[in-house]
Amino acid sequence: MNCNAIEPLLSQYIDGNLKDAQKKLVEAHLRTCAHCKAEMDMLALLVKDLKELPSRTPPAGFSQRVMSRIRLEEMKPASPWKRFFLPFHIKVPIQAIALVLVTFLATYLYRSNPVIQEDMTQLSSPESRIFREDSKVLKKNNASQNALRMEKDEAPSETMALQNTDKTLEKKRKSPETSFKQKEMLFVEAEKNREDLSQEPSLQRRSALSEKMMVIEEAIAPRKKDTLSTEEEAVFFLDASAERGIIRKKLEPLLQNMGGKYFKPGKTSSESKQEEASSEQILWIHLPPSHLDRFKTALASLGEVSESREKAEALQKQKKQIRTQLKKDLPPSLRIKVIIRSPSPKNHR
Amino acid sequence: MKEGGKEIEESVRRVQKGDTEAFEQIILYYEKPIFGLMCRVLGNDTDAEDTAQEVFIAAFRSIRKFRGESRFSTWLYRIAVNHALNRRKRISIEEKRQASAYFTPASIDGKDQEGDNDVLSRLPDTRPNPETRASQKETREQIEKGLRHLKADDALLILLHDLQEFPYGEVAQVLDIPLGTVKSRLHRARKALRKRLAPYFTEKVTR
Repeated sequence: MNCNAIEPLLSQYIDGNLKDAQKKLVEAHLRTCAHCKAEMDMLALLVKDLKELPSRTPPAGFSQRVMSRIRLEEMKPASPWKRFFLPFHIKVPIQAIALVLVTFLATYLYRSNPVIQEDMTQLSSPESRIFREDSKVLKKNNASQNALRMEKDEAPSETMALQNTDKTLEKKRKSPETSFKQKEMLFVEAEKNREDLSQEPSLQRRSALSEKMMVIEEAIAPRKKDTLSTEEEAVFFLDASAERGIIRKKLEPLLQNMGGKYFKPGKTSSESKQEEASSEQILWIHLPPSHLDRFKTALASLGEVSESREKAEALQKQKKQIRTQLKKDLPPSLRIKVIIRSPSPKNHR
Repeated sequence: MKEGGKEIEESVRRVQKGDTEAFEQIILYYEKPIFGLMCRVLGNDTDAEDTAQEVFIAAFRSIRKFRGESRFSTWLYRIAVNHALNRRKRISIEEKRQASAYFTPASIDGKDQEGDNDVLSRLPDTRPNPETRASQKETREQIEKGLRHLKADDALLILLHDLQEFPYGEVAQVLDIPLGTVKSRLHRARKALRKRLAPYFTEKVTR
């Protein structure tokens, strides 16, 4: 055995960590090699001195200082992050269940309410806000209108006068900013009138009532007539057996959802004269253009629908106009004319 | 390293179950060897105490992760070794930053020939006169200084095996290296230290 083979074993020899055979080999070599013997002696001395190094004692109060730091840490409330996640075995299942429930609830609510869906798609369009406002007011007005209708059923003899009331109310729908108090006033007035009429159903009285209602109507914040600014329109022919009133009623909830509404065109327009002349029943509707397809589908469920070809071009034009209006931040809407015809075979247009 | 026995095992269990105060027993049992290790690796008491405190706090924070797969002392020393190495690195970086701004005595007198940039190697040479060189106290000081001059890994091997009396197998576990590596590297580390201390040992051996 030469020095190179023995030398690496010296430390283990000193530590008594060699097997007998290796130990004997090292001892035999050390007896003959002064160099390795000297090296071994020095290493042994070093190890001995190392083992004799005195142990060091930490400064007094070391453990107390560590303990006070630990206690302080224990007293500190866990960080929100830690509190949210620890202990895992309790919090994680609770959080997972909560998350699943919230997700389901949100999905359920979203699916069950088409208005939310529409709102989500329209959030960015400027016209949607106005239509939502309008539809809210419409709903409120419809409620008071329905109340009046109920009254009307109770007193059939006063139909004429109440129809007047009905009309004023319908006009009122175009003034969307109506406070609850004002509506209440209107309702009380209407009821009072009904009572008055049942006692004294004279024509004079009726016209006076009509005037009175008009005054009330004027007082109820006459805002801009509506949010519409376009003159173009889409015209649909609806071949249906049902009457205008029924169709109107059927379409009403849908229109409310879509932010659309019925309106009456100006009496001076030539179209209105045509309407009077023709036997066709016409529904005038204002509708946000984005709902046009949905509206068409709804209309198709009521009867056979065909679109006026003449007006198709106008519709395109209007779409263009709407786009420019959007840039100008004007609220656009489609003016829709639904011409209801009896189901007997007729030429469209 | 002597294992704390059943008392320490019991304290560990109690702490794991939430008895914070039981941790003091663990500190009291291990504070001397841990502080001693830090003193010899880092070279000054302030850093040693600070690092030793960090070791115990880190051990407390993660004591629930100790599953008894190794001895508690092995687990605790792994934390201690990691903290010691990190602190030594930090001290070294800080020292380099200062050295770049000022001349140090070591750089002037050229004592740093071996390229050891460790802060501890630049401690002033406290070698006394040859007459008292062989005194026991002096030998101790020289050994401690020699240890600080060694590479951190080599110093840790010597400290764990020769001072803390961990057997080879446990040193391997604490440092996370193979047993064979422990044997060869321990011998290499001792030789390096012996070389550094040659003037003293030659004198002692020949006496």
